Amino acid sequence: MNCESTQRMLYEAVDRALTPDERRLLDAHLAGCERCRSEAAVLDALIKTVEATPAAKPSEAFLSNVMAQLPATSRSSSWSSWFAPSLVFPRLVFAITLAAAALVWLYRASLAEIVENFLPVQTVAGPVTTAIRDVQAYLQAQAGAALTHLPVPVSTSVEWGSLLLVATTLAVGYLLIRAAENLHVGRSSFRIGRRY
Amino acid sequence: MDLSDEELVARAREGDRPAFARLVERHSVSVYNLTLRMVGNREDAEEAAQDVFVRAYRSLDRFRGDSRFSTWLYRIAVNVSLSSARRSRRDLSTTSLSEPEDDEDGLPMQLPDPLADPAERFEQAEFRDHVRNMVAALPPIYSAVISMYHMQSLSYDEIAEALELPIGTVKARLFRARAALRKLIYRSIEPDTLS
Repeated sequence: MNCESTQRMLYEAVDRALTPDERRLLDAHLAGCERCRSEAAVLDALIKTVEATPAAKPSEAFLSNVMAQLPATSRSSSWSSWFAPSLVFPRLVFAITLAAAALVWLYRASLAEIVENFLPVQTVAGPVTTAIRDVQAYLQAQAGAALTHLPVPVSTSVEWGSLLLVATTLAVGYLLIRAAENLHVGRSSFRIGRRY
Repeated sequence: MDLSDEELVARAREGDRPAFARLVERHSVSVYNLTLRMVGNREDAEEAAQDVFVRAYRSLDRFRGDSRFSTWLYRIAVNVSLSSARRSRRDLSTTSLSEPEDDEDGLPMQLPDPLADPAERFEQAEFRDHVRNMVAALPPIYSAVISMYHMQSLSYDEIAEALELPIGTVKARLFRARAALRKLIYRSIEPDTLS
């Protein structure tokens, strides 16, 4: 056995990965080769030194520093995180826009039918019903006027137009909130683009 | 009552911050030592170790318990340390999970002739400190496997899981890491101090 293959076996011996036959070959070579014997002693001392390395301790403030950097909750989807200061604004905008889009969709679908079918007050004649009808008529007029400004051809089905509005609102709102969340959870959010 | 890691994780997921603080206390030394060996200086290593726990807290919902919590932390620590080392002192080409290119096949160079009995040098306390510092001077992936295997006594399985590498690759990396450390130590010693 030559010195080169002996050295490879020395490193494998550290892991006790040698078979008994390989071990005997190695020992036989070491007995007659001072250079490899010296290398074996160095490697043994090196590994023992590394393994005897005392563990370093982090600073006294380590725990408090970590706890101070933690977000309000570990769950990004929990309800309480909706009220984190940096998230309130984009989520509020998102919610209002979504509600507005939903209202537009409802009114364009046929508010009158919805009200007549589902509002019991509709069956009672009198000044309250009249007032509600007036408000409905006003809102329908406003919604109709607002929709004429949408980037959707007038001939397009009303339902498709308003659905497009809702979908756009969802997409923009989602992106806005994700950006705010990344800012919220800390400066290191963009260091490594991977999940654990 | 000393709760297991899994029990503490479950509590931390429900917003129990003291439970997470207990996890930090339990694993801060091992995580810090790994980042220290990979990053190379105490200040950056401490910042990286803190970052590891903050990321872990934010990702608790994604820890499914397939591996030990400590192994999962090591996985985060390796990635954070590589990123930190990349930003600080290391060369870009060596701060990845891929191996650095070697000029040989990973075997150590032959011993310099002046070293009549080099093992004796390990008896000196100063030299042992030098050796330990050299671990941090290795390419980070080598520092990581040496630190995990020889200093933190992780098994091949655990290292493979932390590095997301096959066991065979981990063994090969460890072999090369030891050889690189051996080579680095000899190169760091001035010839006139060897005799």
